[in-house]
Amino acid sequence: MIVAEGLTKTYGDIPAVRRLDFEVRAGEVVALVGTSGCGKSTTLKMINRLIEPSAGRILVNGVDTASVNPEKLRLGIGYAIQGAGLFPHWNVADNIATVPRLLGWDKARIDRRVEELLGLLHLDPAIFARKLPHQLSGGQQQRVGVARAIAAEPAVLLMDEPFGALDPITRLRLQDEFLSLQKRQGITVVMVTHDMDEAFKMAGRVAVMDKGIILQFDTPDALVRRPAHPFVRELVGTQDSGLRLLSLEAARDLASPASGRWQIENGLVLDRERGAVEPVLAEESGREAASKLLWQGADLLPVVDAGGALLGEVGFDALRRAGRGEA
Amino acid sequence: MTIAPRHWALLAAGLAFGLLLFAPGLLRPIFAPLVQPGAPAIYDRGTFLELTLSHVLTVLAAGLVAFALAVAFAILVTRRSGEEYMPLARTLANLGQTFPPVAMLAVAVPLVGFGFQPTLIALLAYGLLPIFENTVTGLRTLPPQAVEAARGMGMSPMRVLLSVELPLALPLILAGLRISTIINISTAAIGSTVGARGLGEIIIAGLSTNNVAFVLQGGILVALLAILFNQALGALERRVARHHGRV
Repeated sequence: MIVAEGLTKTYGDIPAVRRLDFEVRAGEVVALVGTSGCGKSTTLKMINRLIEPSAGRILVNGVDTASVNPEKLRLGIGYAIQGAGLFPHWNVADNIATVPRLLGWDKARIDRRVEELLGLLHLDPAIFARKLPHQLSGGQQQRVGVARAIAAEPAVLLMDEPFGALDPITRLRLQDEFLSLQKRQGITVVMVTHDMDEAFKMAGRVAVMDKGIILQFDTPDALVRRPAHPFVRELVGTQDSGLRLLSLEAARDLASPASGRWQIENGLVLDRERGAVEPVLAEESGREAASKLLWQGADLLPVVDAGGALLGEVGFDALRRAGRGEA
Repeated sequence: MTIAPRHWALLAAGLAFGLLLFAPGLLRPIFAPLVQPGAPAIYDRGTFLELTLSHVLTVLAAGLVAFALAVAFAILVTRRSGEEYMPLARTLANLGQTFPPVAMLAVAVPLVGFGFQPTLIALLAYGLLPIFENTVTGLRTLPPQAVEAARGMGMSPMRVLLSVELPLALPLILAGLRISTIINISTAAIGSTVGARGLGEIIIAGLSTNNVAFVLQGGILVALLAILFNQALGALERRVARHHGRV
């Protein structure tokens, strides 16, 4: 979907990005991570030519981006940034309609699309369509920013720290919402972040950058188990690498068939030996399962789905195997 | 309904202005003690209404041209390709403001003759700076994310300017226009020295005939005009700013 060949950016004599080669496959979420000044934002902005490469080229869908008018190129690539960057003098509906209008969609189609997007991002159109950005909370603004970025159904979406300016709770909720949206629409996403937790949660593959080069471009699992460079090890963090690995596994996949120990009554999950327990949810990660086991002083907890039905059970044995990569 | 003190002052200014324009005769008892016996207590070589309209017209004409020029130059020097013209544009705008309008009149009269034109030139030069500086500041202090998002979504530079930059800079541009207009409402009075129709005429007539009432009437009209314009343009500014959430 996106191919970079020898991608380079220098400012004067100072190299910001050096001869990068990488490929982003269709439908995948890729995160560029690294410390400030490592070249990750520069790399992102060269994809839609907000920054022109000094050398090398980028192909999007097989087309060399340098051969396309930059404005035309950008109309086909979604762009969401930290703090959303909404136009303060336009209401929510007008903000979302930016690219469809530039593309000349007719009014009825734009209205339908705006309403659909507001619904997808859990903003009631009747309440929010006519509001101005300064009347929204930070999380709502960021939702509108994402809606605006994908309004014209781009195949590719670029995001520069899109959830960076939000409080932790709102950030987690928006990450979840965005992931389910991304899966449903099959958008190819390249995102920049300096938050490793965010990269590990959102991305199928992560490119760790330092001083303008990619040190390792791999799955989160491989980055933890086989860091190719001391800097990668440092960034991923060795202290909690076991927990990081657990966070990559869903409780659903770690669960073994339920024993006869659990009983569900009036929505409460009962342990025949210990009484009521707080079950692990199927969509929660192994890390959250571990936390619930420790917190409740249990060696085994039931796993239930969103409807409250018993799926199985999970205990420290399963977590230990997952932590060693035997899941 | 309660009326704030600020509004009382404005109401009084409006009332005084209306009286002077439409029923100056009613004010004769106030001004009569100020003049020598036999001299007219109210200016009689033209109506206040007509002179005020000419005055406003001169200021607005100069303001319009100054606005167009200043905004055009401010846009030019805030583009990457026009950055190098910034010092030149700033020097010209400063020169227009520091060169005394009276001297400007003296220079302009031999070139374009007496009357409206030299006054227009003097006011134009004098009113450029506030609009230019405010527009430059407005265009340079835009929320950077909004501009980046506009470019990143595929707006052309012209569309970014028209849809995002200028609307967002509008409150500051309007403030510049307001300051420029207020300055020129009082400056325009000197146009009467070269034969432009306006409120300065009343003051000059008063000075030359030693008629304090005339001088006061001219001065008060100019001041009231400036106050009312300030209020009206200020209200417009606040409206725009409120819509942008910049208050």
